[in-house]
Amino acid sequence: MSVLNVENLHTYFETDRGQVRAVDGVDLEIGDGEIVGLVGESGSGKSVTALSVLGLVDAPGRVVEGSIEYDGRDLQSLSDAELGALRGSDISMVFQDPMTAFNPTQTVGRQLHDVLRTHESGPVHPLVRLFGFDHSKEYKKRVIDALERVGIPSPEERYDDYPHEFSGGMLQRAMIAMSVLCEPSLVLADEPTTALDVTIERQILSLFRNLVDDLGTSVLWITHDISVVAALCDRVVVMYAGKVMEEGPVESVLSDPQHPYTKGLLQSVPRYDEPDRELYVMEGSVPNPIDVPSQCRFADRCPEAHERCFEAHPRLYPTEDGRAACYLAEESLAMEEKL
Amino acid sequence: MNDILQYIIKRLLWAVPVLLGASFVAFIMVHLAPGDPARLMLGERASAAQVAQLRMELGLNKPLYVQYAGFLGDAIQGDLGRSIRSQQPVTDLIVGRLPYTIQLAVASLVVSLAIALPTGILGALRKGRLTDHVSRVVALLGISMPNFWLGLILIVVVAVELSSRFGIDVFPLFGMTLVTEDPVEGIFSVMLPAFALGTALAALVMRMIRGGVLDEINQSYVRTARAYGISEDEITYVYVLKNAILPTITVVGLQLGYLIGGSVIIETVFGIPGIGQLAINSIFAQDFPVIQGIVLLVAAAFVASNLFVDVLYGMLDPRIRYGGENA
Repeated sequence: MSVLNVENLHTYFETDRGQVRAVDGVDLEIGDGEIVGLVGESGSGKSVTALSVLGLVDAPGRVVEGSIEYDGRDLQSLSDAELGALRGSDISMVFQDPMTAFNPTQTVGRQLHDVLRTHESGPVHPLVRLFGFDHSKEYKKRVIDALERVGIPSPEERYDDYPHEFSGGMLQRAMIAMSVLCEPSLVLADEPTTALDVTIERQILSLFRNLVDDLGTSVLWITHDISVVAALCDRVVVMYAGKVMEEGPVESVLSDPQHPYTKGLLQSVPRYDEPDRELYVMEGSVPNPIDVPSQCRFADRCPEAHERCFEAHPRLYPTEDGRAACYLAEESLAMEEKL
Repeated sequence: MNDILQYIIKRLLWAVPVLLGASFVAFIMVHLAPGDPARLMLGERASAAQVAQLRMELGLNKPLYVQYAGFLGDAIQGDLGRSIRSQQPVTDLIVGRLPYTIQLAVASLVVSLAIALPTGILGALRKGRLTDHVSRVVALLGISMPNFWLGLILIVVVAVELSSRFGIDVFPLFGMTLVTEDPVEGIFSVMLPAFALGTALAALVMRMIRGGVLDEINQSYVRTARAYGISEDEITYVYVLKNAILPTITVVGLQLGYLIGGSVIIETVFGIPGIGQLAINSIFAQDFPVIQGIVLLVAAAFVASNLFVDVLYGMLDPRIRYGGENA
């Protein structure tokens, strides 16, 4: 049973210079309790995919096509109020930079309290909130428990601290505490460790792993760091220029990538066990997202590109245990059928 | 709280050199200006000997630095000298006028905030739509309209018309009553001048708030709040507005100093016996002790409103800390 099922998602931005196709026909499925890694370079459409799920794409961006199904419900047909009730409670999101993701003039505890209060007793009039009449000891206690669970020392005192009084790692822990406060069934984590030190990154990864095991939450982990995917995820989806290039179980995609882009991505990661290997450098750069040609998005940079690749972008063809958007995958599929 | 107290004391100590500088400038300006106060007091027909006699009595024949030292020594004890024209102590004159100016300043501030807050917020939330354009045009009008003209129009259109057509005499044509004397009459009498004076400030503040809100609604934390289902009302009025108002406080605070300094023109138009009117009369009469006193008062008002702004800012923005090791 899948928690989230995104099909043929198109999210475009209308700009003065033309239409930017940030997400251009993405399929994404996340199973119950599964951790799916969404990998890609900057600008490949990873974050926009996640924001589209929650209906958080800001103007001039817009989901122009596709279906987003959560728990069997079509998210695009929901009203603002229904979607609001879902956000942070059923599906929550962890953002990249915790230092800007929190409101600088409200205490961290109070911001978590607001989330809990909103989903348990509903929104209040701004004046009620301004004078703090909505504050409840019970919610405060639960927020402190949540802060303790993510490993924040002396959470009672930290409850009244402001974001700038936290370190980046501690603040990201607080954000994670906020994301699981209402025990959601899906967490969208948008590069949550990119702004942190490597040592802190490891701590956050194991914290996440434990939370997921405890709560049975599904996770979409967005990253550009393929080593994080190897350490954390069950399945991986590789995106490039708004398209899904390859997907499959982490072990098979990382050990035997089918798509030339995934191969290049893996070869450009330095490895300490092969110190003499020269790092692979992918020729060219990400195509301009405005006025995209109909050819394969990766064709211009692909070492294995042939005539067909310049005619149309390939659909996803099944591979051994995943899928790849490459004509090479189709050819090997055809070969197998012949045998 | 202790930090704040320490900070206030530190800032008050800093105010001493500022006021010293202001007093020096005021003193020099008045004494370098052409015209002899002694001659002015005695009139054109007085003999040179009479004028010299008076100059001696007033201490005007002494070197400037001696005069300044004397002025400073007296000022520290709260004695700003006597008015040349009326012979009354300058301190008494200022204290007698100050309540009118304070009443006008506070009322103008209230009027301007009452206009600026809602229009600023609405303009930002409806950016690019009709409400926004209308409020921006009105703001432009508010800034470009001379306030003496607005004052005259208000007197003619509101006060005179109401009185002559409907017999409603709530708005006086001239003068102002203090709310401490008669609350109802006081409020009505301050309404028109406060409106005339507050409009320009309202336009300024409205633009600040609009810009502040626009800045804040694009911050990441707003997206976070939205991603966690916080209601739009709470996001706008609790999360965004507080942060958007912070920079506005600086502007409003500085304007407060200017308002206390007395609005010379509005006080003249409405015949309000405040500091501004006193300043004008004293300048025409070359009553330099009074002018000096008013300049000092205005400087002090600016120092005080600056301090007030800084303290308020620190209480609203947790990122600001006073003094201490980590400042």
